Amino acid sequence: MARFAAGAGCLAACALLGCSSEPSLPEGTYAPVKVGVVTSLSGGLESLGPGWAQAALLAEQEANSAGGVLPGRLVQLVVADDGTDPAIGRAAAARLVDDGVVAVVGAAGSDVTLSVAEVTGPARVPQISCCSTSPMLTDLQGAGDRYLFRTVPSDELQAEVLVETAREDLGCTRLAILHLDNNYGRPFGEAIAQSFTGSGGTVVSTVAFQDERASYDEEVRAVAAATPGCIAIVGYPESAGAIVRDWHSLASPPDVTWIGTDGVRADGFVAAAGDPSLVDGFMGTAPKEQSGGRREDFVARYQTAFDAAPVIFGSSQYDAAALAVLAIARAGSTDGTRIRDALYEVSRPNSDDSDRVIQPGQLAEGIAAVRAGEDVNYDGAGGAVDLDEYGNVLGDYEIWRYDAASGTFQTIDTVTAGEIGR
Amino acid sequence: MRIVLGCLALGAAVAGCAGDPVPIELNFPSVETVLQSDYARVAVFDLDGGSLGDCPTLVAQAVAGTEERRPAFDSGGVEVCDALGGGIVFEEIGDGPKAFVATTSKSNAVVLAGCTVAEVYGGAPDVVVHLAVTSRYYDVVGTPSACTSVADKCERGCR
Repeated sequence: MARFAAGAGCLAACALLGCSSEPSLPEGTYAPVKVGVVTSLSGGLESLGPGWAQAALLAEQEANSAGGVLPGRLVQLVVADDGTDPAIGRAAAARLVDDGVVAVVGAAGSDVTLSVAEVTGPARVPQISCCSTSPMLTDLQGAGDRYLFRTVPSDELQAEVLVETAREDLGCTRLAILHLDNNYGRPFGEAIAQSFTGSGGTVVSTVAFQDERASYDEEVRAVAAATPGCIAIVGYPESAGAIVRDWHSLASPPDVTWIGTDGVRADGFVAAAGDPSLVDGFMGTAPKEQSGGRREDFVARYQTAFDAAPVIFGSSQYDAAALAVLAIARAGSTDGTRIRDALYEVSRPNSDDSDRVIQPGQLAEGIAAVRAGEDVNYDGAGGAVDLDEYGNVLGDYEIWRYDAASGTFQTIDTVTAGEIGR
Repeated sequence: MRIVLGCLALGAAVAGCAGDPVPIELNFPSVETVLQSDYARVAVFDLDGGSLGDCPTLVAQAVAGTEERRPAFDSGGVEVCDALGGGIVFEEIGDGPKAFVATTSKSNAVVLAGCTVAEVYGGAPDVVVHLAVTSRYYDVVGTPSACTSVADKCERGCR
């Protein structure tokens, strides 16, 4: 009884002093809004994953400098490693959903993104991939009523650009296709085969390969036996580089012209080839990142924050995170379906272009605008990112070429979205 | 009497009181942005449950120098080195929700800005303001800093 009296006395004394040990507003008022980032910190894409995580962090920094995504509530990114592996990615997504994330940014590899979507879709958690280009994403969920989106265009379009380059610029008539045996490589390889055959060429061989093998000797021998004039390779940097290395290890490697895809265009490709001269002049296609002010602003901010240049698709990853931030602000809620609906609204222009355009580096202004009831249209660092009812965006493509002398991938031509398929 | 004094000590030490000093931790995007900042300033605005979303507007006004509201507390310009590590501290700030608007400047231009909503009460978490570069940053900051570290700038007087 005496202890109770003393305790009551303490509380009374505290009250007299004006001490408050509790916030005045309800619990949860200041709780951070969690957004998951599923990225490849290990496995076949580990050379790029940390850069993708940083690109998302840049959007988080911007949003939090404006006080967060919802009134009084900061955004908190929760980064999870997918191991570039669908099973690991699915488990990571499940943990994130259990942890209460309201949206997921990622993954990169199409296989992993599709696997993550098996968790996020039923949980009604919007998911935005920066980098997954497989056509399979388009049909995974219904039109409009879907939770899977991406900020890069589908490979259905890239295959057309690749084939047009192979046929018209490189003069390819007999093509072999080496593709990853996953949900990125298989449909992309099929799209290339269909388009190449449709253009009058002959596909002499199609060989699937696994990622992260020590040797691809068997695969390159199979391709060489088909005597192609050109080889299209749909892979990730390390596996594609190892294939080129093993091709040149053949006793008498046939003289062929190579053409790669977006998954190849990274420094890890050159490193895995072992000798930069083996890939000097190697050409390929990739979604073209925006040039000009929006992209430059993103690059400058990224370099200021991380003292490094962004990795490929870094701008698309920033765009994915930026869209998530703006959609949460627009929804004014952590409800997944409301955020999903808001994603369409903040990514597209109004029919009369009356909305306010928000660009990279302007997320604080964007959050202020939506709180003021304005319509906003986010135009991204990687492209316009106008999400259609299938969660897709249109975009331009680059024809790239590796230059061993400078050690860089160079854009030698651009195919705009309007030119594809003409 | 001993109980009352004990209560006072306990209340102040454990639960904290409205009069406790509130240090402000500035979270810079990178070391380079610290090196490029000359002065820091934090302004505190009283909020209520209906104004927790005021941060973006307060930041925009602070960056543009068009503040429409008078802050309840204002640190004024403080050398950035003195502002690091919770160096800006507000005394007698009073309980309740607040917006903490922080800016840093170089050559009289606001180069970093941020705002955090936090509530002041006994035992409240530290106030951290997340800063981001403003559009003026790249106008004012032409070349990388000659200083190599925060210690270089703040302890060895690198300019």
